[in-house]
Amino acid sequence: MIYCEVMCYHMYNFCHCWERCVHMRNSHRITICILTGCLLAVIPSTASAYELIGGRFTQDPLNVFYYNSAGTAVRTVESGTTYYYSHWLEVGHAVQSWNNTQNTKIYFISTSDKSKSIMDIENTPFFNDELFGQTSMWNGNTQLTVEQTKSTWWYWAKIEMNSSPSCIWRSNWVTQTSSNQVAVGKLEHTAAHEIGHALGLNHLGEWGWNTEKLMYPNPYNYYKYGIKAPTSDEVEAVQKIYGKLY
Amino acid sequence: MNRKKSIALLLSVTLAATGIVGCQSSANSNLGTTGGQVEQSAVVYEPENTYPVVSNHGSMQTYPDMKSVLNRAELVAAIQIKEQETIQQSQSSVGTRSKAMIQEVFKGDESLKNTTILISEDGGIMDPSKVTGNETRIDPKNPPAETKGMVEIALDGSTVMKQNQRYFVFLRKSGNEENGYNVVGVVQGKIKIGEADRLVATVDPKEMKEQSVKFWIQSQFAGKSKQELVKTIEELK
Repeated sequence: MIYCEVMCYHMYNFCHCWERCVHMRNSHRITICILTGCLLAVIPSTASAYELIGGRFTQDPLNVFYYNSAGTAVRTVESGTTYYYSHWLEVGHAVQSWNNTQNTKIYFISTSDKSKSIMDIENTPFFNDELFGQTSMWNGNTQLTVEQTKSTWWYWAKIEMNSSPSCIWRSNWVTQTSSNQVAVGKLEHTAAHEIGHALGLNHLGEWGWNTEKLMYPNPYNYYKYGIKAPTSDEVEAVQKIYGKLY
Repeated sequence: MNRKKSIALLLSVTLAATGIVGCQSSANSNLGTTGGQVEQSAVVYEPENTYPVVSNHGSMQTYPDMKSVLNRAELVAAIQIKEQETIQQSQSSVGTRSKAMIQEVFKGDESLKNTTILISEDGGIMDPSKVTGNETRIDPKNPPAETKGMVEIALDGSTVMKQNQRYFVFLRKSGNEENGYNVVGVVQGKIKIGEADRLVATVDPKEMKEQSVKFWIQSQFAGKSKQELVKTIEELK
């Protein structure tokens, strides 16, 4: 917001000067045109926030299969109360949110035949309670190395959601409260975020910068802004990778 | 228009351009420093992987500054890893449980000094030949090269702590007693202590720069003495 206000102020100054330059010589006009061109070239290049991994799915993810075996997971809180959450359901919502993106070559169809899937989503009981999910990229039985994902395409991806009963799904780090609503929202947020990785999107690097995006590396943007689906920035990113639908 | 006016006009346009670009970069850096800037020139980096690293992209709870990491940590200590066990979590995922000797306590129960605790991390050494069943899910035009030997699974390029090495750690008790302690912020709350108590980064500086939200402790303190980190913590207590 601050950035926008400052930019508007500078643009106002620029326009005011432009009014006065209609009487100047051609050579000066040309110089100003070049400077303006440079200026405009800078603005769009910094408007997008997304970061790309470098690699992508071998095929366009349009009408391709995904395999969702993320089942129901148990959460135990300090009071001893136990809650049950359907990871399967929230993963389904996350896939739907990507399928609903406009003018993208993304449409996943559920399958029960794993061999047809290019995106597997399953539960894993991670050791760290603060780890929500992770994504890895594969070709056959070979997982790609860090360097390979930057330049090589992957045939399929695996997304794992933390199914440990002690995972802090219910905790809202901003308000320091815990609730079912937070847990369900965070599950959907994490699944949608990991699908972003599978598609070739990287994390956004800076703390507090562009947090109203899905690819921020922790659920801060869900805690604060309720984001749990791809935003225009992620849509732009996948359009860049796979092209537009029409 | 006279010459002075035209020069003033050109300067105005140039300043506007500079202002916008400058504003953009300062917005980035100001907000970025909340989590710490990557000072690549000062980073001392020593990778700890013996095998090729396969990296998983993780979504995790991370913390923006030292105060929040410190608040979250129940135990802040200098430790040495004594024994390790790799545990299969799924067909393609592993975790590592380490027995660690506590050498110094900077926050938490001081009676734990010279005792051993359990620390559980996600990632570690894995035998990729155990992964089967995906033979048909292959790009026929670009079949993968055969993976020989072991690999190390790392979260966002951060490898697990290694046997006999010393680390400065921010820990919290896991909700699952079997796991003992977890590192605060998963990959955030740990940094290796090298020779002469110098702190050392174990994450590739390129990765640190790309993911400064996660690795600001390593990028801020690698190359500095352990005592500087202790001093920072003492000031925040």
